[in-house]
Amino acid sequence: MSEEIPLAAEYVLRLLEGEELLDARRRAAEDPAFAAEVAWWEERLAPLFAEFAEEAPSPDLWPRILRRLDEPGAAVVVLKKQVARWRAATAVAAVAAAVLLGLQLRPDAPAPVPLPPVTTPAPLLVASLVGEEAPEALTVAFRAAGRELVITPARVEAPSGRARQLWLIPEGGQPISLGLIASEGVQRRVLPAAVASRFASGATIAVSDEPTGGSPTGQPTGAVLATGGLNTV
Amino acid sequence: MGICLRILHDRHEAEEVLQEVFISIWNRAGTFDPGRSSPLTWLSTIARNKAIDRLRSRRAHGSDAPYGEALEIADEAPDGFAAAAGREEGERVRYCLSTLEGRTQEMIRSAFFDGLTYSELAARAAVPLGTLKSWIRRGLQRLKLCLEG
Repeated sequence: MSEEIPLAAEYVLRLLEGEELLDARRRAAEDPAFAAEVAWWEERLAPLFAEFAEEAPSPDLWPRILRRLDEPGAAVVVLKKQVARWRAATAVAAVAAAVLLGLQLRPDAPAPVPLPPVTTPAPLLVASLVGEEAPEALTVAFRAAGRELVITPARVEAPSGRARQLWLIPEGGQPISLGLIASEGVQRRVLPAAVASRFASGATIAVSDEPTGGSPTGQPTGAVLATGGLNTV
Repeated sequence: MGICLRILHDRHEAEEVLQEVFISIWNRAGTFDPGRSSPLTWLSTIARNKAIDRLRSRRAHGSDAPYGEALEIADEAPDGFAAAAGREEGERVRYCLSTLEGRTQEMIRSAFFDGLTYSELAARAAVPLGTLKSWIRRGLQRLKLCLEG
């Protein structure tokens, strides 16, 4: 067996201290091959995260985080100009929101039951919507269990007299209204079973420009401002 | 949240760290590479690292409980959502860990789940640091071969 020191693994596990730690940090920053090894280990070990016990944070944590992000000078202002970064940020925020809100939905977590090996778990679907032309950016997460939709607007603005309406567009199907969205605050709603059943990976979520009160026809009537694909997390 | 609490053993601190995690995610979103890892893995990695940072700065100030207590919280209730996401790929790392010698396996797990360093693990196992390092290094090399296989 090779006597090579598995430095990348030690670094990822955070076993190192002192000189050895400084050395590993320097290499992670300067040596792309080493950085790739670090990423390799992070990914291989990541499944172990599933073994951490589930803990619900206090209900006001997410609002507290959003308030801090809203503070003047927060990085959000800069991010607004960068669609690529937004895409990543919104994807992550959607997961974050879903995880946080999801956990709060079960204050009395049932005793852990061994998970059956083959069943498909209740899916969590996430879409991040970014307008190419319009400034709209938001994330939508849907938990099949509870039929709950969580909408996190990053930037949603409607001029006076107009509203923003959210749609689910199943693959090869007609848009289904998910209701109007407010420009601020995390919005949660429970969907009717008939609508919830149409949520599937591959469907599209869209925001359209509509008159106040929403589309009078039940189908989008104004411009589509932002779209995003629905993916299983 | 489970990650932060397991490592820090303090609810208030765990929530503070979780808050930092989300703020830093907004700031570092550009460094996230969707092709390489899932958002959840990325999020979890950042959470673990930040919790360990906090743990070590607390130790540097000498106010930490003895790390011997670290093992008292068991991994009883896996997060159903994360467990489901990780089940398939997880088989490999779990299998590979299980092929290691029991003691080495335990130590690598303590490093991952409790954020212990070489010297902390050595103190806990009451073995010389050099000996412990060579056990774990051998274990990590075997783990790597197995994961590559």
